[in-house]
Amino acid sequence: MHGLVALVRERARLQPAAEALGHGARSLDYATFWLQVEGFAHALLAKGLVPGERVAVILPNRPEAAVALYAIWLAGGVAVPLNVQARERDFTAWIRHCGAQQVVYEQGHADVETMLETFPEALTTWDVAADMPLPIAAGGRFPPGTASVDALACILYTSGTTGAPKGVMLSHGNLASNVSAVIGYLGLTPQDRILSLLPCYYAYGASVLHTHLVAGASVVFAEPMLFPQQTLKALATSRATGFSGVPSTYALLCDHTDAGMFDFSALRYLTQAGGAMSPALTRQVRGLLPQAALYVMYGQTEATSRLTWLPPDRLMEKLGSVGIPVDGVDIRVADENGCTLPVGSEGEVLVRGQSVMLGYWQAPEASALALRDGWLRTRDIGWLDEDGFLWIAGRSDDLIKTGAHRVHPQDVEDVIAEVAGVRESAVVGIDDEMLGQAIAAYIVAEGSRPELERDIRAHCRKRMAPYKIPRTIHFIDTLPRTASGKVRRAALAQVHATP
Amino acid sequence: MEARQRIKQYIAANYLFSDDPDTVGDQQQLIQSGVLDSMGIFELITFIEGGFGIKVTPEEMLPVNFGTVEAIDAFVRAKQAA
Repeated sequence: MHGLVALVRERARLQPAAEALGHGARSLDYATFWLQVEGFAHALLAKGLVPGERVAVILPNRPEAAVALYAIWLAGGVAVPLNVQARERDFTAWIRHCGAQQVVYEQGHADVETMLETFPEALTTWDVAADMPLPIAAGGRFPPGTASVDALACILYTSGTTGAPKGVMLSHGNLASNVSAVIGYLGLTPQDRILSLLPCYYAYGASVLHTHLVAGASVVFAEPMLFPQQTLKALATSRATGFSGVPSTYALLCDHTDAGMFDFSALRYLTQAGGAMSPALTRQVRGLLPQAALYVMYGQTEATSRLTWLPPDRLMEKLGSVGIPVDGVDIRVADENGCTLPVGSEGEVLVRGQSVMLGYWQAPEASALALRDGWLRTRDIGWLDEDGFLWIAGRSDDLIKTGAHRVHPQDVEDVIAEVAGVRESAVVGIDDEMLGQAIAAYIVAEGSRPELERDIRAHCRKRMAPYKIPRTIHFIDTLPRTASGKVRRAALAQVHATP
Repeated sequence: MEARQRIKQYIAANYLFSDDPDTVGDQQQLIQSGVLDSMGIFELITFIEGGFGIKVTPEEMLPVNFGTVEAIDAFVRAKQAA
């Protein structure tokens, strides 16, 4: 098996003049893209990058995010793409945890710059201006790669700052295996062109990027969807053949656009992942863009990206299912002892295959809990039907899925605890039509202070990414607890769900 | 209260968690500075539609109309005059 570097380098050789990446008025063909990759790889090496060294990448969707990833790999490094919406406290914790010596970021990112000022050790930094390429260094062409597919390629942080950050370790083989499977079922070719709003620091966005580059297709980066009609217009005018989104993306498109005025005749496929999409919204999406095949998918960062896909020709027959395993992945449903359950029985979804992570970075205990006897414990509860289609019923832990984001309640609770007047708090995800789940905070206050809710919101805004700020705040006398003292978050969510 | 002040008061209270309307500047870039995200824009549009008796169409949901307080104010005035 070849790694992504070898596969994309081959694309640059075979189709140098074809568009690889687009962003606004900018367009990079494969030859230019690869020249920039090689040039930045030399620049990283000139600053002392050694094999296996981690390099943090904090960039929004722009060509340089892709150039940086491939350059790090070409130079033998490990890419650590970080969420650009995170705050200084997150960046400090992640960079300290992964031990990155070099940081690539967009000029003017205040939280990154604050983080760098407070870092006691000098880090090598690459601050790239808007619409400008990354710096390059001379050094000639790289020889054909001999990097092992078993080597670590990237670390993706799935949780925040408190306790032990969870950095999912993916190998070059993990990435290549999953990319191959996705290209297969989407039928991607060099004629494809996708409008990509999904950030490359998330597994789904990274999958969109790598699958299209390996297939020789084109990736047109766009900003996060703030104005749905503009997104729909860009989809039509770019003559995109594909579009990927999470349920909230599609909900905004369905609720706030007028699709009638555009020509979508080039559009061939839509993909959806990042949480369950309701059958009602699925029908709406089909109605909005009927000419495109809709691929409902399910996956986890711990399994690189995609685990299952629902063949579009069976979408309505299996509406609500997340489909069948992608190539190279086995799935079973097990009880709490790990014993396989029969068809139709609900239990924990376990997966194995070439896309399953190496483990969590410097967290052997967490890795051992997640990986048992070659199987990854997804923490998702589900069941398989008689045709082998997987149906997801919920989570077995407290992870909140809001929009495209994953939020651990403890991250939010720790920030709320910093506010004067808060005795204790519990954060839960409650069902939300638009976001899948919305974050709700339950607060036990010390005494009565009318401005406490505003103070909590203001403090959360200062300390956390916007998507982590609770949508609702409720004041209660005591938190419900189990006999052993653990907060019963499920009870709080239930109260909210049935007022 | 004039429209611009009401808009500033709403943004300050709901996105910046402040009682002071001047927490948000007239020409401050609301999107680039992270004050408004995708959900925030739709909440703001709902407020504007309810508060000023206008209807915002999908075609009017543009950065040029919602990028700054000044732009929102001008958009509301134009809609009310139409």
